[in-house]
Amino acid sequence: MYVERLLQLNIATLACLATVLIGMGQQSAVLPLAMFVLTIASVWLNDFTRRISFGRGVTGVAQVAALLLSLASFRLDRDVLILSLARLLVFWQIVVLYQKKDVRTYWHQLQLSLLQVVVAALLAQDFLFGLLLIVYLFTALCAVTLIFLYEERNRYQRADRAAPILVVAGSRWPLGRQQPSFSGVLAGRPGVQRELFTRMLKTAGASLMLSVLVFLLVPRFGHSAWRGPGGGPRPAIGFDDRVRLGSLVSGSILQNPQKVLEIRFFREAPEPEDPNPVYLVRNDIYLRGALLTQYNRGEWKRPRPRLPRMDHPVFRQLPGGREQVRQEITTEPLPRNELFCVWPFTIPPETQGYVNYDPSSGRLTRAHPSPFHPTTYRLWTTAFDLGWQSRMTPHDDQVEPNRAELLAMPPPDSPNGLPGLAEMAQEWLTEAEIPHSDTYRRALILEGRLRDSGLFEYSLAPVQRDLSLDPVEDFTVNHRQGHCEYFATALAMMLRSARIPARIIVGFHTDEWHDRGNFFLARQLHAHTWVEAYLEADQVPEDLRKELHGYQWSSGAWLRLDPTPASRSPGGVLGALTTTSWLNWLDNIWSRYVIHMDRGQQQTAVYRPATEAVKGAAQRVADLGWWRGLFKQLRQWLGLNRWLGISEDWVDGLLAAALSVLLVAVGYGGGRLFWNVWAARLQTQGGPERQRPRSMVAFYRRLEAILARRGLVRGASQTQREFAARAGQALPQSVHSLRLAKLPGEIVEAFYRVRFGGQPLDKQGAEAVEQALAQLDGAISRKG
Amino acid sequence: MLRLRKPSVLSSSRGRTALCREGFYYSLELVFVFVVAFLADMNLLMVLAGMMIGPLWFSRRLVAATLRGLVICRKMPREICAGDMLVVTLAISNTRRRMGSWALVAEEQIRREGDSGRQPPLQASVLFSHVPAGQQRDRVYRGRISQRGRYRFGPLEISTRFPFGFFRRVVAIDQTDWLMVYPRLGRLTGQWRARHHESFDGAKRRERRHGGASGDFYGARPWRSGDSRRFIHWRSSARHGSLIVRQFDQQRNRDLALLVELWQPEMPALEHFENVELAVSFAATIIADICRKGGSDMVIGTTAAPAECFRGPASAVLLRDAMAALATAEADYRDRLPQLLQAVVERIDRGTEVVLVSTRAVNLSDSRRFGALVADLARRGMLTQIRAVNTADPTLARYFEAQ
Repeated sequence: MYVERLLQLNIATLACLATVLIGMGQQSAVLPLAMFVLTIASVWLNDFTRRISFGRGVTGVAQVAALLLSLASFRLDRDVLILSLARLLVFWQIVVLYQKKDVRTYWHQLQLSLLQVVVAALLAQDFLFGLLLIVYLFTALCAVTLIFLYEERNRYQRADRAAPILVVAGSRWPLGRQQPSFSGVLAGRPGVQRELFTRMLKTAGASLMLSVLVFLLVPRFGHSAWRGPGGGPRPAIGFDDRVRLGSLVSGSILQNPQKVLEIRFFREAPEPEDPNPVYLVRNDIYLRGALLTQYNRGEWKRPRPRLPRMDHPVFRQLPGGREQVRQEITTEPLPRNELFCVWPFTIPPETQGYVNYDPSSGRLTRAHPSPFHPTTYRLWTTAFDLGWQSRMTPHDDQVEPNRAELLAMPPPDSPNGLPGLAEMAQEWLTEAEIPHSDTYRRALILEGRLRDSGLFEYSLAPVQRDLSLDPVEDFTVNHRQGHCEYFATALAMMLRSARIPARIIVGFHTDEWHDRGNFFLARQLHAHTWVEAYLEADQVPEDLRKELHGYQWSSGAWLRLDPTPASRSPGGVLGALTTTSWLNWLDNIWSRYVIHMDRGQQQTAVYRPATEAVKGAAQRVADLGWWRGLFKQLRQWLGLNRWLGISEDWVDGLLAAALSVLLVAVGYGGGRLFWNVWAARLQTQGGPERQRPRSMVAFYRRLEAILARRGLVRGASQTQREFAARAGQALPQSVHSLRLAKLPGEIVEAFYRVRFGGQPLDKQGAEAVEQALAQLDGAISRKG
Repeated sequence: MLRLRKPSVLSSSRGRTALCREGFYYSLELVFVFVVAFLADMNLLMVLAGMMIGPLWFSRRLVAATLRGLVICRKMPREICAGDMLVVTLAISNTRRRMGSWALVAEEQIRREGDSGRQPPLQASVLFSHVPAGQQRDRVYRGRISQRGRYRFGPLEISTRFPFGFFRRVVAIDQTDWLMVYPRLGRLTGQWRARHHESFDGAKRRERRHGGASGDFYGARPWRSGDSRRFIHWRSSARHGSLIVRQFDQQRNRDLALLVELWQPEMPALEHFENVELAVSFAATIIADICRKGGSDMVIGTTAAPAECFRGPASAVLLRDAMAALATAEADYRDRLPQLLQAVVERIDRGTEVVLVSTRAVNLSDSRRFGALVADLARRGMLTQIRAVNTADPTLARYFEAQ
């Protein structure tokens, strides 16, 4: 009863879980809730109290009715078909819940729940599906085990009856019609306890690992993975040269930890007293990707082209008197062509031909797009001053800034107007009492208010916007939550409302510094949007001119402004795990490596890293220097130099010898193990032919063992025949019947045929030997 | 008497694993899910397929692991009467330190010696729900064997389908035990006893027995199984080089020669089978009755092949040997009674009561059948003193009740 109760609860849980998975795919809670209520009712009314318990006929009719109902809404549309199938399976499961339960019904329910999961897997699912699938796996394994145990116990419970003697009328012999039968007595606990569930848990864990391997290694041939109904791509933080506000209606934005690039900084000329060429950057860095100037109702576009495209460095020559820093950037294979770097930059001769710069759009791109291979390029920059990236960049472009475009705003009285935003900006500036001529400080005031006033909150969650307003107007006035694009757009528009030319920049903002390798890492989650305000030459403050010596300010300057609040934590994967929602991170992993795993992704994420790891390992093993380094580390770690008091070369030699001995020992042990396992396996799998020599002479050993109990032991000088003859003479004195005397001789003759004649015993011969041994055994035991 | 065999340790490598019906259906589902996932690039289905592979794979490993390190022994009686309840205990010890074993099924074949291979053996199985690590569990199976004979128990097969029932692993253990199923004992009626005493009282002959010092010394004879060591005459034994026992005279006891003719036609019917079993059961009941009382010598002979003739003092040992012989005695259509009578008549002493239990009517004066005996005047008289009981005759019920 205990096993059955547990099984009933388990199956009910399984049915609920499978329906929840379907409900998640449909993004509807109706079916899961209905199933939950009906399952609880069925457990009580059917399983426990048997008040409602339908037979097979009734449930069959109900299932047919459910099928007909589903056919009524049938349409030849893939998505509709899947959803109809999902509903039909739920209905069938509900019907079976109220069926009278036996082993077959439980299997039926299990199969239905599995089908439900199969259908749920066709729907668009987020990572919670994966988590629930793990729970489902464990529950299903327990259910299968419980069904199995229940079935086994049931079988023996039915058979646990001792047949009485049947007295048949008219029969003179009472046992004449008695059929012999045996039945096992079922006793003891079923053993359904913690150990069993622990075993199931381990099996589920191992199955999970196996499934990960299968999933990653089974090759994909398609270029895009299946997306079920409503399964469009999830929005994720990442670089895009277009900005659209208000596009996020439901679902939070994923923080995609995908690596985008590594950037290293080197000094132009290492000093003699400090030969380390690495240039140490002391703050987080901004890597510019694209600039956007045209704004219209929540959407930013590139600047209008004003000059024909031309490929040339931004700076013909870097200004003298400033730190020359080489930036070496390695980008991962990406489907986009944009390249990212610290501005201002110049293109050295060795890089020319590999990258293009379009001054009109302000974009640096690959000259030879290669979406499947990493790209490394070198640029020079003067943006750093004592390790700090400066906020001010001189406008040294060949193109005059398009002031009209940089000041453009929707008319205030139009539906796209931003009156609230402009009013707020004006209010802040009025409060600050900064003169109109001090553009620099006015820009900083607006940046600071947006970022630090506490009125605005950084959020990746979807916000319900007022669709009648421009998204940034709604952000400024009504719903003051948003991500960096909202903050940047709001600041740019505020600057423009204050007659300060501004544009927004899309790129990466990272502080993920890796000491081991001396590089900054930029991930997709570091994608960022900020603002640049244009300052006329006379608006650049004098102190900044002195501080940023060496630059030419005659064409004006661009001031970098980042209004996004500091609560945003671009701390990389660890940061995402600790300070932002780790669920978000999991969701992103799920989306990238599970949902969208296609051929390209598999190549990038699985096959290539695995191949490179193997190659790297092989190279390291073949590299003498690597071994020396290893020995050196071991030496230092174990302190062998001090302990042994011998030279390093000797210690290395000893370590190499010890390692060789270890490898030989491991190889020998492994070989022995392999040989033992496979030799035993081959011997057992070789069939009777292989096993014959050992098994065939075993009967003779049994004969000797039996006779030894009567003190008859074969002498060293005796043959088996002589021994059998002596035993035959000795036995009649000891046992009752004369015919037993012949048995040792018969057995030994069979032994001679097998052992020396190479004639295997047939079935009858083996049976005869077995009987003879048993008779001898029985007779001697009786006398004993 | 119970017999405890030397335990056998299960070695998993000796077993065989087979896919069960549930496993077959599960594999079909797995293949379906995998193929669909593979062809349509359905990643979630691929995850599901991966998850489904695990249970199938580990199920195959676990059925083997469940049977590893188990020690099994069987405890059963050596002899039993047909129709009595037989209880066999199987004990499984789990010698592993960590892993318990679930749902072990011990199944064994019970085959009657001499049965043709076409007859299916009897099956007995018992379920061990759980054998925790380092512990032992005993389970019994019980039943009745209705046909006398010698039965071989084994080979024993231990199998499990744990944990999911997808695979079944069977390990056969060459552990064989033999059970002697004696004839079923009935009840001798008062009429039989009265007739027996009448026959006894009418004969004032000297009966020999060796039980007690009250009798007079009669003579010496070679030692036979069942004789007490107290009556060994050591001096004579030393002189002859073999054991010699003393015999004593005692009044009011007489010897009995019991002859059993198990004849049946070449194509026997059910009634012939019943006659044979009644004859065997009747003879067994007489022997048991006399051996329980003791005090006389018995000669027991059957026409069954191989022909065996026992002689000895009525004792537990003789009873066991005679019951074993009757248990395996097979009826035959050939007429072996003349040879049996010839052999027995030569071995019995004068005054021994001779009872012939036959499955058919016997005319002992038939000169064609018993020509050699009838021709011998001395033996012809003995033939006339034989009391024949025909078990095919309904009047058997006056002497014997089968139970």
